[in-house]
Amino acid sequence: MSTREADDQLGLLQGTLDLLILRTVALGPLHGHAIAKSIEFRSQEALQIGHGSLYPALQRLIKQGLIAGEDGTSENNRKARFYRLTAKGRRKLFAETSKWQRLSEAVGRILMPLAEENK
Amino acid sequence: MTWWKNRGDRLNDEIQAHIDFEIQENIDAGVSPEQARHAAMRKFGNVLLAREESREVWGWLWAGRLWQDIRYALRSLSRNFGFSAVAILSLALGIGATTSMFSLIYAVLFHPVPYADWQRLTYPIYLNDDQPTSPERWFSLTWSQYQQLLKTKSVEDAVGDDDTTSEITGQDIPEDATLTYITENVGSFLQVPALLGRNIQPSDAEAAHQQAMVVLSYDFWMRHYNGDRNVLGRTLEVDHKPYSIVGVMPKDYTWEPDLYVPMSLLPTSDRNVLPIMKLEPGVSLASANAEIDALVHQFAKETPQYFPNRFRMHLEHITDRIVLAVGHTLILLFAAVVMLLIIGCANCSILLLARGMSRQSELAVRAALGASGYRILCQLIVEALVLAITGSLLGILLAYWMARLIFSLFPDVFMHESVVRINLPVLAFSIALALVSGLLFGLLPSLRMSRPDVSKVIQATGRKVAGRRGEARSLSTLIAAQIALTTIIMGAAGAAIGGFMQMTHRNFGYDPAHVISVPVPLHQHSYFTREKRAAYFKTLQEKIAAIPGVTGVALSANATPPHSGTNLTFEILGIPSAQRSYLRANFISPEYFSTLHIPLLQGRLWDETENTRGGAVAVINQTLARRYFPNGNAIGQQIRTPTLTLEIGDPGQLVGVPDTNGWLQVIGVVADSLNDGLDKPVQPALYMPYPRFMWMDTQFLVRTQGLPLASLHDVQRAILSVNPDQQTDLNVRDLNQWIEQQSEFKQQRLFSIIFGLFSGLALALALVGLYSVVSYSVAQRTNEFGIRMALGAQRTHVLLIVCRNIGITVSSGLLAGLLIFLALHRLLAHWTQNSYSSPLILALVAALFILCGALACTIPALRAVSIDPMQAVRYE
Repeated sequence: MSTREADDQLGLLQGTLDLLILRTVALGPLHGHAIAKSIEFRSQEALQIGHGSLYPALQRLIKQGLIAGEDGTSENNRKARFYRLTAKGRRKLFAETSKWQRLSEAVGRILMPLAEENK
Repeated sequence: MTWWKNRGDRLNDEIQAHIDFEIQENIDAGVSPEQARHAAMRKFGNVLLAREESREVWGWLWAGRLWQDIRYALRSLSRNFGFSAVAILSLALGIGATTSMFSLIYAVLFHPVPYADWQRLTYPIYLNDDQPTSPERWFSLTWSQYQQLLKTKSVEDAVGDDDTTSEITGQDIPEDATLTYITENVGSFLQVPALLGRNIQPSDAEAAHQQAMVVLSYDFWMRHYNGDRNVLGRTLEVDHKPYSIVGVMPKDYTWEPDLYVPMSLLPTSDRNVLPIMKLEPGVSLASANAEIDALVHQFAKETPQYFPNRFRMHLEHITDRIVLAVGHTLILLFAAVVMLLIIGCANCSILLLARGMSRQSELAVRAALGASGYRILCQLIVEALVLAITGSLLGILLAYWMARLIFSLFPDVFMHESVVRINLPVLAFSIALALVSGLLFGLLPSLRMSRPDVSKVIQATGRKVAGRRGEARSLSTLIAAQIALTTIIMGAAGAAIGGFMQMTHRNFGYDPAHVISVPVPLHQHSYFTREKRAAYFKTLQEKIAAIPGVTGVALSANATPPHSGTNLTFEILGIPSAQRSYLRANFISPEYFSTLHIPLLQGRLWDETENTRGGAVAVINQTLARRYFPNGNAIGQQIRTPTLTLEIGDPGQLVGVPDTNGWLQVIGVVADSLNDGLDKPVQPALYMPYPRFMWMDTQFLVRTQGLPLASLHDVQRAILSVNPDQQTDLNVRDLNQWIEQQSEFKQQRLFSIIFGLFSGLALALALVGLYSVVSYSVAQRTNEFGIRMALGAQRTHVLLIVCRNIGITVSSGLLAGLLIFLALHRLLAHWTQNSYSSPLILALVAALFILCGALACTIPALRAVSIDPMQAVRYE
């Protein structure tokens, strides 16, 4: 990620990218580029992921058996690799999402008053 | 590998597709293709990093990195050829020596014989309780006793053999050969495949009565048939009886005998069997010993003539003797080579450290570019391991050659069945050794170098500053340790060589030059009376004496030095203190002393008539005279050996006067000559006329004018002129060779040579280390020396600076080595029989080291001071 844009955009917490990928491919098989675009679009461009860092994350998820990759053809007729969620991945996504929500609520509750005062 | 490639290619394709999508998207948004590509690349980030990190997830990245490091190491090592050659050679010598010792130890101690289940093979001996110092004895069993032995619970199976002295007949001169009758189960018992044909087999028991067959030993086959492979089916005449050759055994299958024939050829009543037993699995030696001891004591009641009055049975493992004889020394030698290896490793450490200094900037740049300390450490250790493995491959070749050399030079120090092979355990050992030593010498320098102080190195702008304190200290420690170890090895070598010199340069008391010993074995059942046997020996002696060029012939039944005489207890009339002491009883003819140049000190020798009738007279040696007759009144005293009787042993084999243990009058005293081996003091000795007590063989000591072995043929002819069937033993040697055949001589010589060789190697390695360190430290300080000299320092002063530092290191190492050696030597004195130490040897070692060390220091130091100060200041 380039430093110029870093202030406006949010960096990713460790391990968050994996969760976002899982959530993204839960909708249906997608190739790498589409996953990146989808994350950016759905976060309203707030989350800019380094496209390069997507690939190690994908390999990691494959190794853990949370997603599976298969060859296919893209919308513009190019060969690409599509990733879909496995059953194990779906369970993991469910567990991690609820964990994440509890965490963000807790962190939000702590951070809220200070943010009000400073306004 | 294709799977691996596919996965990598697929990842690349995928990333490429990703970027293409992004470009297409940008173009669709109206950006120029050039800018679209740049934007896409920027968005993606570092493609290589993404690829690398993805691969790391797969988990095989380390293999790729390792390969990278190995290639890099090979490149950098071949660039610094001198450095690599010295390092690899140091290691190869260390690993080679260690591996060869290991293969020797493996061959001699862990896998000494090729026989099946050799760990369970034992033979019985008895220890004579009446004569504790007399050598233990093998004993034979009658056929029925052997059958009883087979039935004991602890014995799974056994082979029995009955050795006889035979002669090969039907040729010009009869040739002596040992023939053994062996039970026909020997093939399946030992499971050693024959080299040609087959071993004796159970069906031979019946077949032997139609056609006797014989299996040859490898040595006999080489000696008699010159290794002719068409020997099977031929006939060999032994004792005028034809045998058909059915097999030749391999080289590593050998007991003493030359020929093996089926036991069935011998009538049951004539069989005197020496058993070799295979114990049942899981039966301990002690419990087997207890069971067999009871049985053997029962045998002793049946056949008392074979056993002493009081004895204990002792089961001996077939490899016990060799382990006792050379095991300790082999382990000592192994310790020495391990030290040698450590010295070699220290050398590599020194070289790596010294080279590391010149690589400081390279490593700093790597660190500055983001290489982690771990990554640099890995790379450096891989370099060290590449050195170690190259060194060990060379070392294995060296080891193979060295071990074979040692065996072929000194075949009979070890068990003759032992064969040195570079086999799997040995290979595994040396490869493990390479890895361990690589880590050993690689770790210290690598740890030091993997944390380069980036700012300092870069500030120094490539100029070397005087070596850092830490490095200097590591180097001096390494050098001092090397020198200490080298001193220890040199001290040990000095002790071994000193012991050998002491052994060979002591006063023998007899003159071995120009004398041969000709053993003459009698045939079974011949010359059964004392008179006939004595007369036969006398005739032979006279015939030999008549040969031109022969200046003296003596008969010596058991008195060929340096191990002469039979150990017996004795009594002196009127001196009770002499009871239960031992002396060496020798049966000789009176010419013995003149032939061996042993002077008569007092009294007289017995004359011809006294000799012929086996008179009750005796001559004693000086040691005996001094010990019991300190006033010089030995002449006329009475002495006897109460346990010397004709009953022990096979009846008819021994003949002698009726009162073999009667009182003898001392008529003379002769000077001492060696009688208990080269390395032990002279024992009290008693010399008696040989017709008093005769075995089935004797020896003639023949002194000649010319080369003694040259007259052997004449001696054999003379013997044949008396009895055309009388063979002489093949074992004819002159007395100097006889000395060289002593096991203590051979072992001590071998160990002196090996220790000498190792200490030479250690010295060379340590000097290379010293030389590298001095060169390195001098190179480090070239600048400083230049400045000193520019400011007016004398060259000698600079030289002094160099020498002082090194001098302190060398002398502390030397001192530590000498102290450790002295401490160890006390400890080891209990272990080795012939260790020898004197201040002279230590002084010699120290002097040699200082001399060589000074030379190794002076050359680089002189080079340092001969440099022009201006050049030195600008150096680099």
